[in-house]
Amino acid sequence: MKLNLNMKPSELPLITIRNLRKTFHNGKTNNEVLKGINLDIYPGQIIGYIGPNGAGKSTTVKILCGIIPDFEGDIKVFGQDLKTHALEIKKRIGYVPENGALYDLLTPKEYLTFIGTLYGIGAAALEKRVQHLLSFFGMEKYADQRMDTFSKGMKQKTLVMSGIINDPDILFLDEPLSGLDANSVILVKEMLTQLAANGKTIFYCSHLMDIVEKISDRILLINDGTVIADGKFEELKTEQSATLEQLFAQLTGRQKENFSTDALFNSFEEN
Amino acid sequence: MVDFSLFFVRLFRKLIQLWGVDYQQFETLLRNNLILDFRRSHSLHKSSKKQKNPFIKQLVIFTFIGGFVEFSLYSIHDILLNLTILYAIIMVMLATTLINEFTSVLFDERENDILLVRPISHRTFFLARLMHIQFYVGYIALALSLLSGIVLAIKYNVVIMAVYFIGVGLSAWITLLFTIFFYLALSKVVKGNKFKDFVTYVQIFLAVVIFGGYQLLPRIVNTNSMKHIYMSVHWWTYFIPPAWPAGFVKFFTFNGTTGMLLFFVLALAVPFLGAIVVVRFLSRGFGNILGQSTVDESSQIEKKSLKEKFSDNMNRLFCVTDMEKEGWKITMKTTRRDRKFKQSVYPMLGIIPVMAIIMLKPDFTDITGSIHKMGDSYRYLYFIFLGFFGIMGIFQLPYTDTPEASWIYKALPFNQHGHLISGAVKALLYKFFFPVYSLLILFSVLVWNIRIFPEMLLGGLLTVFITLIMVIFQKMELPFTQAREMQQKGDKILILFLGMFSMGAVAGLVYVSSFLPYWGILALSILVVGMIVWANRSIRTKKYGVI
Repeated sequence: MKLNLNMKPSELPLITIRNLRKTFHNGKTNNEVLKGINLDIYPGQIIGYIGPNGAGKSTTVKILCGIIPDFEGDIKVFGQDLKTHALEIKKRIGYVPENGALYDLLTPKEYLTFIGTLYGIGAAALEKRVQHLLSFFGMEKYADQRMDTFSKGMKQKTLVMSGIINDPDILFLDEPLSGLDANSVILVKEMLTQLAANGKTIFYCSHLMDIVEKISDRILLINDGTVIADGKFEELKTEQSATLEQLFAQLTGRQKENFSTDALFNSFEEN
Repeated sequence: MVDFSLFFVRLFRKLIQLWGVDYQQFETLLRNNLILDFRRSHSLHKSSKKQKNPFIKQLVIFTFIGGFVEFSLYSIHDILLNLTILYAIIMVMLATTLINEFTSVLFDERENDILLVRPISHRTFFLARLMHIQFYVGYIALALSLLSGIVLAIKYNVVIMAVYFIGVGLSAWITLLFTIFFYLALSKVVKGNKFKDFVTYVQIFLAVVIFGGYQLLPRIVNTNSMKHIYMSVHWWTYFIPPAWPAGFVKFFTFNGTTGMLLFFVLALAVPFLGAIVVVRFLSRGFGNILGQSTVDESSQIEKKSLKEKFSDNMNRLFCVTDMEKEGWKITMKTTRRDRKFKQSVYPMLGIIPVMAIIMLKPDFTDITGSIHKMGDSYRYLYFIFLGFFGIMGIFQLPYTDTPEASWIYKALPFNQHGHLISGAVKALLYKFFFPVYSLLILFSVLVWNIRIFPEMLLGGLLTVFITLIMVIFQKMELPFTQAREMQQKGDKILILFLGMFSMGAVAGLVYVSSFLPYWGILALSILVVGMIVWANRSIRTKKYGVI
């Protein structure tokens, strides 16, 4: 089942991906994670990138962000080739990693200033921007505390701030809501819709189906290294699958496993 | 230290930009790394004892080593030869430190998600890494050469000393470039996780070579004959890296030949041209290595090898309870896959042949003769002693990179801690001590005669017993539950000392037993087997409170 209902010929795509393949080598064994992905992504969209664990979501995002520089296929971002113009592209994108990687011995202020300097933002402008971000996320109180004692949510907020500090045109987020409390979830959701309204493109991976269903303009479902569904939720849903969760289960072929919990409980009874 | 170093680096700003590096970003990255290092060591030591910066302590030790080296080379009068050897020693020590301690910094993947997405070129990122390492390597090089520099100032003049230190800086940089070059070339041949395995083996090999070198070199070098040796320059001398800075220094004494001018040029050109090659052209390969390792290769299937199936069957022979068997299995698997464990244990095994040569002191000009002579002695007792290196790995058991995973022992209704430990200890005895000691027995039976077999057997059993006693007295923690940073160096030496001491006692006991008839020795062995069973039982049944 392959749907591509989001063609907007009037606009030029922001990202074009053609035949993207990625294989990891480990000695003699090869592991093909991405098996030929083709996509066009247009400005101002919120794209929910979903798929089972190990489907290749993070690998796609890491390739698009330039963390994995070595891949097969063609990727153009802002009309430039990612392989040859990675630096120019990186200046205009933001990334929020999934595993909470940051220097936790720094304070949020120090960390954001460090990242901002790497983007080449001037000192005066940077200070203002950092102040702005900290107050938007309600983090002024903690601005000068080292992050090693922070909760997961507070670190996540800092990561989101560092992802948008360069005012990116495209923002990639990998599980951005994990560890956030309910208020922060609302905050980040609002931020994402606002950014999209201002013409920014959001590309995010998540396992939270209800949120993906609500805020995405376009949903991409990846399974086993290929895109198996692509479109608005309203277009994708069928009679059997009224929610994204059900659709997900139906398309990734897990519905039988998911609902055969009887077998699981039987195995307990045997002992 | 940080500000001085950054000031020093700033002197080379133009040059660094010439290598295709964004200087502003480079300095930001470097400063950030150094600040983090200092905060890290500070917070580490705040929580433990009041200790001075461990790096300073290390530098003091390196200064002493450097003084010792200078002392042993003092008698060589030819400045070119003297400095070539000196620079060679400095370079080898730096390369070893680099490979053993800074490889993890070089390929640190934790920064990937933070830094690789930023608009930083591979070159800038790579050079920042290199300089971060060079900061430490540079200070170590300085410490190593401090005393010999002072000697040079007294022997010649201050200018020579200054030139010598410049040479030290250059050779540190050359060493770093060569090491990186080696790694990047290696990564072209072996890929992914295999690359990391390979690096581990290189580290183990180096550890053994260095240990052997320290022990054997002084025996080979005859200091008396060195007074009148001069180094003549052949065409191939120009290919010896340590000769470059040495010739560079000699050039400044103004009584060298024109050949020194070539050394002078080489000493300057190789670091700078090498840096251009490495930074400009090879940094992309470095980025690929980092990118390669960001994604966990979760689809890798662990196949059971024949050897593993065999060891799984062996645990039925040695382990009594289910928990013990599980301890055996988890230890077998973890020690086979954990690179850091291999790094800390395998060198100790590699040391055995080196120690054997040192202890037996065979005459290499007459091997058969010295083996014959050995056959009449009690030297096989040394072999019992060497068996001790086969049990050292057991004391690495509690350490892991993921101590937080040990929550299971607290959260689960689990009270068989002793069983887990005894299974783990048995696994390592089987994995390391058994093969090592079997080889030692085989070798000694070949040299001495089958008649010493009972004594060797008794020695081996006593070693096992001593090991178990040490496990009991040390109150060993559960396997793979303690952070490696917590590992106090002092404890390690204490165990080594205690172990050596008790191994001496074992060898003494075996010596006394050799006066008994063979059935007496066998009876003693059976008694020791009983003691082993008892010791093992007390490990197993020992009550552990909540950890």
